[in-house]
Amino acid sequence: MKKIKHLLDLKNTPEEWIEEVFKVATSFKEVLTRPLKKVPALRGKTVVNLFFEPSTRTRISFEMAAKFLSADVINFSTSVSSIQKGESLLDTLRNIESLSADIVVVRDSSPGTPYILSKYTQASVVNAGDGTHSHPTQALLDMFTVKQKKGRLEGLKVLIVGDILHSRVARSNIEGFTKFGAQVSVCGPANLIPFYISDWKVKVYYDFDQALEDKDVIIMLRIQRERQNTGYIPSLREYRYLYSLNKERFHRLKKDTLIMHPGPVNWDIEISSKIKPYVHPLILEQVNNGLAIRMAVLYLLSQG
Amino acid sequence: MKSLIIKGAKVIDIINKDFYKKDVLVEGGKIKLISKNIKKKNSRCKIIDAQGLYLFPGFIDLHCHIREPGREDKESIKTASLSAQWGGFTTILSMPNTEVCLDTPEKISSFVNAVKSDSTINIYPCGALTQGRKGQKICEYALMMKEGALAFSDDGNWIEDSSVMMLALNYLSSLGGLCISHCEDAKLTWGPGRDDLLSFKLGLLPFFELSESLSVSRDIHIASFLKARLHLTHISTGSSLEIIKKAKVQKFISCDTCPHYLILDNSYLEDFNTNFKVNPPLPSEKDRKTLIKGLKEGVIDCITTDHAPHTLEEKESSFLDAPSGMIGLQTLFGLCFKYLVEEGLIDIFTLIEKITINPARILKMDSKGVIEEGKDADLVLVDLNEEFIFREQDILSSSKNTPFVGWRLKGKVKYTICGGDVVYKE
Repeated sequence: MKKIKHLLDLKNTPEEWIEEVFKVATSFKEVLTRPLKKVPALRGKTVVNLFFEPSTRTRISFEMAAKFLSADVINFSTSVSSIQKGESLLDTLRNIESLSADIVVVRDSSPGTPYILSKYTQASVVNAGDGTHSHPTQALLDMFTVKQKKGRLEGLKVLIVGDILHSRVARSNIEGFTKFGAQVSVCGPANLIPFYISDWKVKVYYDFDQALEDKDVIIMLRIQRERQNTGYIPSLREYRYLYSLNKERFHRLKKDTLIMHPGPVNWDIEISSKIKPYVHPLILEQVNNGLAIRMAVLYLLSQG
Repeated sequence: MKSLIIKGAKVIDIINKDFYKKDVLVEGGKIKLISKNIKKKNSRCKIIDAQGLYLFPGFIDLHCHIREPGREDKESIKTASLSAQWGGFTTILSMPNTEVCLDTPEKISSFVNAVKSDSTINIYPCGALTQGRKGQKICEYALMMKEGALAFSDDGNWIEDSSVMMLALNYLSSLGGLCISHCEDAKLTWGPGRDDLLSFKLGLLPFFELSESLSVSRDIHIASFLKARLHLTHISTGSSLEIIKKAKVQKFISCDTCPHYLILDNSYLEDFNTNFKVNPPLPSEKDRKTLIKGLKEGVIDCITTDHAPHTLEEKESSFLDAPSGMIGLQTLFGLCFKYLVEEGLIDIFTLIEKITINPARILKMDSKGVIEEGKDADLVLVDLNEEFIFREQDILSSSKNTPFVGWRLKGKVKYTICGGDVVYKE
């Protein structure tokens, strides 16, 4: 298998490496069911979580993944931009570098930060979300979840619903699912779907009722509440009227349609709480799969 | 009297699109004589053996940024002058968006005095169009022109308020002044990308082409209504060009673009190197081709550098935080000759007119931009056959923010002569 040094996006990540991630994640998922969850795979290695943007869930997921692999973990979180502190991004990295990290997990609000850092460090860089650009481990865990449930990705009809314009999850999922032969469509308010996305062989829907009919997988994105203040959408109640997965829409789906959400869910905005008992278990399983996927990613990169 | 003979160069004739091999005698800062076999008159007369070299009028840049006054650490008049003459420029126009905004006659005057002591080439200040570049109140154009302001611009900002723009243009044109407009409706600039799939994939939100074309259109409407002179700077999209093309039946509209919009496109942003971050952003490939066509057809009058020095610290930040701009005085000619002329996209005469006679006409500098007897002896001798790699140690600017380090350029400046003095010799 071709080894890779960094995980920056899915575009430049070979399919066979992704397949390997799924394979390794499957065995780690089994490990996670044991009473003793720790494996010694990364003993003696250091993983630095470098989070320039606030994040709880993804950071905890990476932190636990590293700990279950017996790595030493350092969390470097700051909500204040390094620039405001008078230190350049690269200086921050140079400081981290002196801690001799083996893997640096980066999250930032600007597209491209993991790319920039990867040029200046000996460590492997994992993109944990860079602005509106990419979130490869989220897409990997989504694909992994679908693969476990459906046995395949090829030929599946996948619909992503919500704020496509600002979503790194949408971009990475489109990249990942199409790579494995799934047909991806997007649905949401016109102001949050750039018209030129159709150049990507992605079907665009503005009508959720029309879009949901024959889909195998529906990924509901979290809508940022501030979008209504910046004028992209008139109000959350109008958004709910057009794009919420409510009881009526839920009952029109194919029986085996998978409903997923990267979390945290705004219940009664993206998804009605009336169907929570039906959809929440899978969303929680995504979180569990996320742990296994991140363990697999850290493990495979440390082998590089 | 000090004199200089340039012997054996191929002298450009832009009007007739030709080169002729003649000697040029320079005396008292002027071109005294152009003829075959000019003989040395006295021992004080210097001679440049220019066999094999091409003689062009000194290059003129309508748009650069010098960080004086305020941020001389990024670029002072002195270092800008050194970079400019290395790149073949003898006249450059410095934009007013310095830390201390050039918006009063006093500030213009002190800038002009600093140029006198620190620069060996002609550096002219462009005054602010509105006080503090806030887009609200017009400046004292007449007094500023008296002190040496050559044009007026709020570069970096577009004047959003149409009434202010109308008042500024109307008043300025009555005084015979030139307005240079940075066309960008900031509300339609959501991010540092373009409105295309490539930028979307990179997560770079769009600088909509409408941001430029709408503002171009508004400014042209006001200028046409007033019959006022207007120059639109760093044009970067095909849709703007279409509007400008129609408007150019009126002789008082002109525009420029920069080498990075002609040679690079937004696919260079794929590894998020902040040295490629400019404003307007790098164009789509389609727009880049349209711009080259516009250059050829004469819709675009000039090529400018938009030379924008930034410190390493500033550029070593994230793509969103990093400031826009790249330095360009040293690389404009070598890039355009190698990647436009040698590639057969435009001819050498088209390139030279865009950086000599055309900007001279726009600035109403009758004595510059051509090689004729009686004109200013602002000249540049270039070896068009010399290819070279542009190296970091070649950079004379105080800032090093250029993506072109390591690039192969062609056309090396051997001598730069300004006002009859050899100010640069390789």
